[in-house]
Amino acid sequence: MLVLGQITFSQVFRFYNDFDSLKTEVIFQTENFVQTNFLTHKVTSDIIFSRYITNEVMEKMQNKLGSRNLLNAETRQSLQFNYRVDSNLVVGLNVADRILGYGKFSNDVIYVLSSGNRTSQAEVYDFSGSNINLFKFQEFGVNLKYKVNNMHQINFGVNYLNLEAFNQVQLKNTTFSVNELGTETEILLSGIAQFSDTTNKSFMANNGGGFSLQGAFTTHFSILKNQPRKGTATMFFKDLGMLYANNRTLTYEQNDEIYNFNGIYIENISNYKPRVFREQSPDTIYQKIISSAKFEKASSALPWLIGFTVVQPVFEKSNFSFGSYFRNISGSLPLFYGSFETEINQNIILEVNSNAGGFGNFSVGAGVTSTFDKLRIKLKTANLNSLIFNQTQTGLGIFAEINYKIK
Amino acid sequence: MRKSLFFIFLFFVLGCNREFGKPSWDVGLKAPIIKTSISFDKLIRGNEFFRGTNEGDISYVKYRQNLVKLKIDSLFQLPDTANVQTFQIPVGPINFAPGQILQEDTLNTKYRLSGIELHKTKFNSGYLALEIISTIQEELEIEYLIPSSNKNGIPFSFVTYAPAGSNANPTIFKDTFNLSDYEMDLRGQGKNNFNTITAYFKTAISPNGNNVAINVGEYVSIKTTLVNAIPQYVEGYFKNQNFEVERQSSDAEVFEIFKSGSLTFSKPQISLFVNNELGVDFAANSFNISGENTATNTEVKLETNVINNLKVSRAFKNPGSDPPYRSNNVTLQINETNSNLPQVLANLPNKIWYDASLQVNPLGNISGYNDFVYYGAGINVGLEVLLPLQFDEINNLVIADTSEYVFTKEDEYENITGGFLQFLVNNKFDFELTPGIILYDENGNYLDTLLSPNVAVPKLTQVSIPVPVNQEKIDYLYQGKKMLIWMKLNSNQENAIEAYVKDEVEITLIADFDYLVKIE
Repeated sequence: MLVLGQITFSQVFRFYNDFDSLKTEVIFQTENFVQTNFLTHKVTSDIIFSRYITNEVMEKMQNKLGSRNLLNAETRQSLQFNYRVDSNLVVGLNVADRILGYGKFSNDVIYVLSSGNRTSQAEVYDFSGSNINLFKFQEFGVNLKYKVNNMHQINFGVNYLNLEAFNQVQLKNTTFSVNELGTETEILLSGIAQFSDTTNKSFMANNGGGFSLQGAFTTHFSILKNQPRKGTATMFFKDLGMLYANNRTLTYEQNDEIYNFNGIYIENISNYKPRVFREQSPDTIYQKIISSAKFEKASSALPWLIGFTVVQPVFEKSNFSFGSYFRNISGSLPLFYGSFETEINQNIILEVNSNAGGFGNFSVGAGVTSTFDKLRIKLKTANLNSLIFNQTQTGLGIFAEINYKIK
Repeated sequence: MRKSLFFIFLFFVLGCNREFGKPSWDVGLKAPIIKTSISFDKLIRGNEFFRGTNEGDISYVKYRQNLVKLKIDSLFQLPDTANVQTFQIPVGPINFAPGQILQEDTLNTKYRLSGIELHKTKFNSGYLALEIISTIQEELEIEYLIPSSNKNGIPFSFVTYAPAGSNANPTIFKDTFNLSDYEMDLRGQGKNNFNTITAYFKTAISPNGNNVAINVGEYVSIKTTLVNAIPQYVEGYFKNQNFEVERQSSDAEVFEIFKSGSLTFSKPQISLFVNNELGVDFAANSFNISGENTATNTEVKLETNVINNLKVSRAFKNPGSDPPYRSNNVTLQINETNSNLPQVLANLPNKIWYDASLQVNPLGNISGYNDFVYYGAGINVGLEVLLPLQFDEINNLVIADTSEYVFTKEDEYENITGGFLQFLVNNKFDFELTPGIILYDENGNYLDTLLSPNVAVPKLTQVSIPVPVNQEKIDYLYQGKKMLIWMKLNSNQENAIEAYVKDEVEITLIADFDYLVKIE
């Protein structure tokens, strides 16, 4: 099984080093992370743990807003079963429950969402180019790991995806303006919003399907004469696939529509008729956008990921790794990472890592692996700096794994 | 192993948290909610309001109120009037052949109308009710004709048959015949009478019957009754009649919005109008008018000589037109030069009291029985108030009006944690105003003062009045069912003030809220 993520890249190292000794194993993994260059750790954790976010915390977040404000978040819980068929082939089955959320936001979107639009002067808030995507789905996959020879290994997997929820909002040319006194507002709206059937949203609800592919090619190498173990270099890809939402997907599409709202106009307040606060203005933005709703199919490519990682053993019980990957999300940059692992004793492996690029800022992390007979437990994060400087540093995440070797 | 349990617990916590939580934070929202305007034409209800044609025109309130109306039924009513004819033989039995006449005569039916002498009428509605009681042992044929009647050139008549009866079991036969649209000469057979309908009737053995012997004691009784007759037109002499209009009141809607304070109209004018649509002369021997302000319980009588001994000549027939008469109208102008009208209006009366002594045909039968009246026509007496919105002075004048409203409860309102409702008041009037809004429940019980009337907005000025908002105030908003809009006006100047067509108060309600965003 190939698992690659900002905080899980070292799984590649673990798997390929264990290839020869692997018999049968069961692995439970949970990975939860938020990569972002604007949401401070404090804001992110307050959101995740349902806390009240103070104005002070919001202001510090607003200070980090730049030209591209990115967010990439994922939660993944998976259960894998790997079985060694012969000395060169391992077959794996896996199920996973995943939530992918990512987006790009203009400064004004973040500002309005976090502070509102109270102002003492006329303002034009520009939301253009902002988008947010939230997909919930379950993976059911088959993986093959084939040892071509002592130097090369190939990994390939295919997954069927059960689409539980499909939510996309993409704003093109969109602004919101309010005059100085707050008596007049105008919205220029151009964009599309799609939401899968909101009446069918239980766990594993089926609102469509999809597929994804993943693969890797690994080669072993030795660059030092007395190198105790061989190093590995791996190129990999994952999440190459599509999601298809069914024809019950609610779609709102607006093309350069302009809406003015100056308050509900009551022609004669002294002859006021009941029930007019919403109904009296049928041309309000609310009514018009709602009236544009239609049910239709929708689709989206998964944000595929491609990268490489190199593991170089150093000394008897240590490894140095580095690599990079790129996830295909608008505004993203390649993420570079490096880590150092060392075995403290027979049961404990410690790790430190650092990351830069991608969706976030520079970060450092650490991990620990404990082995108890056939049970191995790994706990890791790439965002220790955020824990310490939580009001200025961004990103958080945690990876955990339980690996039980049956044979 | 304890470490393992710790990690398993951690996995459980992280793994089960599939949804992001429900965090919250404060934002400041600013958006318009309601925009409305208040002007005199919107406040003054139930009346004609003249804006003029140009923005620079002074607005007028034209208020018309009917006080008295004398209609045809005020002058007289045609009572139900019956006539009975009976036939029986003194000796018998006598044989009668089919078609043989038993009785043939003229029948005069006279309306009893004290002093009123009608010569001609046309019925708008009504009918002739026929009742026959017969012990004759053969079917009877009854013919009835009013020769001096006419409907499309044909006189009123009918032929009907009453079944055979007996002494033991008399026949009682009833029928009705519509009189609508029949013109009738009411002068009787010799054309020298009045209020009288002359008919010809004949009773005979039915031509389709058999020979019959009529015995002594057998009889036939024929009763005709004019029922529910309402004339479309009447002509004659309606006599000299007096009508005393007892003191009574009428609401003056135009002033209902004024609750207290005072104002002085610069050029007020009212008219007492009389529209005489009847063919009788009319006189008002006295007409007393006063205005009462029920809030202050003060009444001011209109003092003027203009309406003393008012006389209005009769209307004229105008055949072929619609209506077929031309009314005679008299309008008496009452203003500050010939009355104490400014004092009456300064009292801001919301109730007009009046009593009158009226008379028709004060000079008697000068028309020679040519008085006339058409159905629906009458003598209308009323007031027309013409108030140019020009004021010499406005002093703490309070205008108030209540309207019903429904503010639908939305869950989002619970997330409003503070801030303000900004009332942006743009006063385009030439006088200072102090606005206020008070909320009441459906029973009229006070709930809350939404906008306290303590900020004066100078003339031709825009002022923003912030009202702190909290959950309690929002609760009152959607508990409330009635909204009292209250404005105190002050001229604060010596020059005359004029309200022009364009003048109004624009009020924009702006939400300036602290709002707790909750991610559900």
